Amino acid sequence: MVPLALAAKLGLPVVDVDGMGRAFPELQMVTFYLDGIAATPMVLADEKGNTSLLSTINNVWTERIARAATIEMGGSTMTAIYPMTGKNIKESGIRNILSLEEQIGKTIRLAKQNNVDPIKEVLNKADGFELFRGKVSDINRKTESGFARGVATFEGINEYKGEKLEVRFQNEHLIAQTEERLLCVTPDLIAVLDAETGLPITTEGIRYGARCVVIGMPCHPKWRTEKGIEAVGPKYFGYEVGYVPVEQLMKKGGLV
Amino acid sequence: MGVYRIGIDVGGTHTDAVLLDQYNQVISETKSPTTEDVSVGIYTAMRKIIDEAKVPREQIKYAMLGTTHCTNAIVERKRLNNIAIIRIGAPATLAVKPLIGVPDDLRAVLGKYVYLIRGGHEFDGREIVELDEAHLYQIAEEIKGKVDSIAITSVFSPVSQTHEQRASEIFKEVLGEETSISLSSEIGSVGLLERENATILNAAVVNVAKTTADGFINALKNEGIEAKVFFCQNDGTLMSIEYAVKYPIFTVACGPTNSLRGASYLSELTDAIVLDVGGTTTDIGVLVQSFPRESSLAVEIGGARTNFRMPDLISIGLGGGTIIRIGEKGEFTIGPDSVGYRLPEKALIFGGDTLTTTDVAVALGKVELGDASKVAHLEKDLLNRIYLNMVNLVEEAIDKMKTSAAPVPVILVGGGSILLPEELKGASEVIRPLHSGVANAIGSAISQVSGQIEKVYALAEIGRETALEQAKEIAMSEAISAGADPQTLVIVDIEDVPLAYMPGNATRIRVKAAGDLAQAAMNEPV
Repeated sequence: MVPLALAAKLGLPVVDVDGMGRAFPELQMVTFYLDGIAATPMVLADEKGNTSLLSTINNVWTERIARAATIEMGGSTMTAIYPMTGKNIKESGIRNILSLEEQIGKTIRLAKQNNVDPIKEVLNKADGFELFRGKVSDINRKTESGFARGVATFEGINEYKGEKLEVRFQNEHLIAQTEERLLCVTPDLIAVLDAETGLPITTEGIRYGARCVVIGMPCHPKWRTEKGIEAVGPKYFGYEVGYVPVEQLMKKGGLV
Repeated sequence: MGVYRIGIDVGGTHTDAVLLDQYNQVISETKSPTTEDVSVGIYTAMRKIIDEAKVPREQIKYAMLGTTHCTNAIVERKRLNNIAIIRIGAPATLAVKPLIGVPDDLRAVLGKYVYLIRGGHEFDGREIVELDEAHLYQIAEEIKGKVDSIAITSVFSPVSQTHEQRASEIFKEVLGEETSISLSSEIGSVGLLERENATILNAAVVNVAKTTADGFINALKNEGIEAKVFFCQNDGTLMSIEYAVKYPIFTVACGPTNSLRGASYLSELTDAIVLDVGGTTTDIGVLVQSFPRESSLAVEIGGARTNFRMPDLISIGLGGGTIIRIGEKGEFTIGPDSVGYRLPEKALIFGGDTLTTTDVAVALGKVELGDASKVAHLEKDLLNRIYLNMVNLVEEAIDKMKTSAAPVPVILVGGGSILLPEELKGASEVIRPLHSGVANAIGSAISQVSGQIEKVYALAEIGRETALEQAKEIAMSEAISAGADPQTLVIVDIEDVPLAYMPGNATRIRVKAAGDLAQAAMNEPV
C-alpha cells in the first residue's frame, strides 16, 4: 500500500506491474533479477532521518547490506530500488498484479455480501487449491537476521481430522506439509485464510486457536524456470524437497 | 450445606438475575428493567431472586456480573471519561496519528488531548530515541484538571514496557493517584494501532466500569451477602473486580459470550446456532464445543479497530419492539428502529400507539400476550406477509453464519424469542430451553475460572517445548487453585513474544488456562 499512498500524495501514476506476483522475503527475489536487472543504485531511509545510498556488485549483495542496515535502522525502512527503463518493466515485470489483488479483495467482499463461500470464490479467481482446514495448535516464530522465521502447526478439522499440517515461513509461507504429504511449496503460493470470512491471515497475525483454511496457488510461469527455481525454490530456503507444481501435487493426492 | 451463586447480566434494557445451586440448577430467576443508577436495577433483581429462593444469605458464596455498560457507553459515546491520549514513538509513527479511521463523532469525544512524544522501542528492545520526560511533565501540567483518565501507548511496548511505566510514574507524580492510567502493554498484542485503540477505549470506560462495580458491591452489601465478586470477560472467564475496573475493555463482549454459553448449558448442546432475540436486535452466534465461535480478525468496537478476540456475531435489527410501518398501498417496513424497553407502553396490545413485531405475532395468534382485541382489526393477509418477512430476515442471518448447507440445531434465547416460529429454514430443530429468557445471567453464573502466567523464559537453556509445557502447567495449577475443576481445564490462549534484546533467546510466554468452577471447591467453605 505504501507506493499507492506515496503516489497519491505526489500525484504520480502507479504502474500495474510488480516483480513477484506474490510476496518473497528477499529483495533479489524478483523477476527483474532473473533478467539481470540491477537493484542499485538504491536508497534506504528511516524515520529518524538517516538515509543511505547503495551501489553493489550484484543483487544478492544488495539484499545483504540493505537488510543489515535496515535492522540497525529499527527493522523498517523506506526504499527506492530497481531503477529501470519502460522496456525493462514491460519485458520482465508481472503485469496486472495490482488489478488482480483488487479483484481478489472484491471477490471476498462480494462473497460476504452475496452469502456465498468466500474461500471457494478466491480459489476460483486464483486457480487455487484447498490444501487443508485446521485449527492453529502452535505458532513458533522467532526474529533472526532480520526475518520472521517459524512454523505454524494446524490440527485438522472436518475431513482433515487426525492430520497435522506444518506451514513453515520466512516472512512468507514457503512450504506446507503434513506427516505423509507435501501439499505446496515455494515458489507456488501458500495462503492462510480465516475459515469464516476468507480474509488472509499474515504470519504475524496467526494466533493460537484460530480456525483457518490453507490454500495453494500456482505461481507466475517466470518462476517455474530453472533460474526461477534456483532463486526462490525450496532448496534456496534450505528445504530438502524438490519443486513440484501445486497442481501436480494435488493431482496425485500430494504423495511423494 | 449448599453453596449458591448469583449470576447477573446488566443489559441496556434489562437486568437479568439467576440464583444457581452448586449443581448449576436454577433456583430462581428474574428480569427487571435496567435503571439509570445501575445499582438500583441490580439491587431489585437480586432482591427478587433471593426472596424467591429462600436460601440462607451466608450460603451465597459467589456473585458474577456480566455487563454491557462499557460497550454501550462506547457505542452511544456517553458517560465516557475525559481522556488524554499519549503515544510514545516519535519520530516514528508520525504519518498515522492516533484515532485514525475511528468515526468522527467518537474522535470528537476522545481526541481532545492527543500527544505524540519522543520515545518508544525498536522490535529488538533498543530505544528508538530516549524518552522525552520533559515533554511528559509539560503535558501533565497542561491536562491537569481537564482529564481523569490517560491512555499510554508506546511503540513495541509488549517487548519493553519501560517507557510506558516511566510515563505512568510521571503522570501519577503530577496528577496524583486519582487519575486512571491505562497502559497498552497490559492490553497486549504487538500491532500498534489496534493496541492503541483498545487502550484508548479502555481509558474511556474506566468510570463506567467503576460505577457498575460499585453498584454491584453496594447491592450485595445492602443484602448482607458476603460473596466473592467477579466480572465476566469476553472469553467466558472471570476476572477480579480490582482488575476489571482497571481494564474494563476486557468485558466489552461478555454479553454475547454469556448468552451463547447460557444457551449451550440450558439446551445441553455443544454445537448449534444461537439466536438471542432482544427488544431491538437479534444477535446470531455459533456455538462450537460449548464456546462461541470467535472471529479471528480485528474486531471493531463502536467503529474503532481493536485487537480483541470476540465471538463472531451478526446482529439484525429485529426484536420484540421493532416498529412496523404500513404504507397506503399495503407496502411495509420492518424496523430497524424499535420502541425498545418502552414496549409495555408503546405496543398496540398494551394500549399504546405503535405497531410492533410483537403486535403482529399476537394478532396472528402466534403469541398470547396483552390484549389481542386491540390488534384484531388489522388485516390478516398483510400481517402474514409481514410475519413471513420477519422470519425471512432471521433465516437469512442463520444461513450467513453457517459453514455448510447442512441443517443445524437452532437455540432461541432472549425475551423476544417468543416471536419466532417452531420451524426455521436451515434448522434441524428449533429449541427453546427452559429459563431461556435469562440465558445471559446463567452464562454469567457458569463462567469459567482461569489461571494465567506471564514469564520470560530463556529458550536457549530449556528449549521452547519445555518452556511451553512449564508455562501450561503453571497456568493450569493457577486455575485449579482459583477453583477450577481439573477435569474441565483447557488451555485457551498462548502467546509468545521473542525478546531479541535479551541474551539466550529470551521469550515472554503468556498462557491462559480455564475450566468450570469445581463442585468440590464449592462444597468447601470459602
